[in-house]
Amino acid sequence: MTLPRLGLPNPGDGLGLREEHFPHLMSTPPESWGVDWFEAITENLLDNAGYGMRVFEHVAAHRPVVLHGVSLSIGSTAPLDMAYLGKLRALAERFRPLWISDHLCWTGVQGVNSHDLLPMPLTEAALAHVADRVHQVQDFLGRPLIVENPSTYLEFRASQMPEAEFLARLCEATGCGLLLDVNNVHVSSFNHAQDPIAYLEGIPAAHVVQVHLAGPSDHGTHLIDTHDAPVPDAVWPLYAWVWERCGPVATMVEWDAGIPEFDVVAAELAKARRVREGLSLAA
Amino acid sequence: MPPELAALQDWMQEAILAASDRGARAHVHGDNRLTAEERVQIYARGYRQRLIECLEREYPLLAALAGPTAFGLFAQGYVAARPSRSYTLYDFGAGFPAWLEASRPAGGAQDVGAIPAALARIERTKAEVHRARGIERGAPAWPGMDPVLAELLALAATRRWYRPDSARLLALPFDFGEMLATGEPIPPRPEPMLLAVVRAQYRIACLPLEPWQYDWLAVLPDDPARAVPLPDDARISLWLPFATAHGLAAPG
Repeated sequence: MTLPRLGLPNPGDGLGLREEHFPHLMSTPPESWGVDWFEAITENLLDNAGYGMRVFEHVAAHRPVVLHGVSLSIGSTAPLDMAYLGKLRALAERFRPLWISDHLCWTGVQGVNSHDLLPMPLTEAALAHVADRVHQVQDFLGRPLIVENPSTYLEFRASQMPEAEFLARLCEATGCGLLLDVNNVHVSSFNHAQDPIAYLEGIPAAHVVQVHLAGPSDHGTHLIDTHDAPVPDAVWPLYAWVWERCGPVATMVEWDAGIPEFDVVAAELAKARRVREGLSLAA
Repeated sequence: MPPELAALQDWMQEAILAASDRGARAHVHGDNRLTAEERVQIYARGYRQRLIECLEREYPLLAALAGPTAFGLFAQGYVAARPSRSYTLYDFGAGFPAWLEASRPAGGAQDVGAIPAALARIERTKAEVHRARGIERGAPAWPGMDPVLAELLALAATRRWYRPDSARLLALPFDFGEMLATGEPIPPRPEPMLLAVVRAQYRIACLPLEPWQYDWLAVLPDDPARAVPLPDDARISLWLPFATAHGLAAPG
């Protein structure tokens, strides 16, 4: 039987570490941050001996941290980038993050990196391919990989199963964890005219290690995962549903464009607590 | 590797890089809200927008000086010519100055057409210095001693010197002094300029240099283990406190 969260801790409510908030974090006592833990973008720290690393050291000295990558490209048919993985492992050995996450996606082939989280065809062959690579990464890092569901804007004709089933079978095959991005469930479900609750029902609760919340942009015919707005009203009931089924679990708000003051993002995180407690968001 | 998966990823990447929707209907579902082609184009547009925004962030003075139309042409040309091949967006803009230089109309080193590449060299260097290994973590030469007194002692002693990775030198065909001093997109003067882009206490500065200052810094090793003594030059000895205070040189 799988332990809840794979036996990993629940550090509470966290925020993404963003450059716009460096002055606040370096000038405010940690006890006043009002945040339990921080998630850093892995690629922002690799090869970085500047101020970004200095701030991360400060934050990691006072709060638990996790590393969240965007370039692992676990679904690509290109070979795994062992130089990247080597640097990631060294970073993890230095800072001991609670866990390491990346996305169910591919970012490029033939040496190119699109710097986008490109969708996978949800086929049996792709599942076997991704599972094999998750095994390789977990063996290399010596810890479970935490895989995030991406926002998607297209579905392949070749797909043979829903994304939730793909993720559930990936968890079963590899023992990996899930970073369940509730906003991404909302975005993808809207874009593909699907039921988000049906998606969530297919997720293996015990494998959910972390939850992401964020705000997308509405383009009328579709939503795009821009992380540039408050969490939309439609996402909060989904989060409450996830908490009921998977909680308690680490929850984090992402805000990556048009980033407001630290206190504004922290206030968005406080909404998550109110939702969990069944309170109105207005207070 | 599953061949169908490889073929699909090859197709999609080509569609994104070339902004082509050829083959979209064969691979992608469309519906009454968005066709298969429109869905592929969401990724193609996002790809370009992300990389162009990366260049705008890294080259703000060039973007301001060139204006949105010209900078947009520069950026679109670079994105098309040099797809990213790194795991980090930080590396993407590294080749922009050389691409601008190679793409400009033929002409002399101080032609107007040479300004974008020269300015881009400064801005890329600032980005590299931002992340470079600096002197902020260096152990004090005399721990516990007043920093000013320690620095005077360091200068008085026969020390060896190196140039930290966070101090970069540029020999430019234009004088960007006014632009760098004000932060405004003021066109440069067509006169050579020697410049140091340097970081101290995590703050980046662009410091104009005299030729003798540049020449001394240029011959300093970047490895503290290979640090060298001061040359017998009174000007350098007098300038050394300034150079060390600004992170241009450090004791090895």
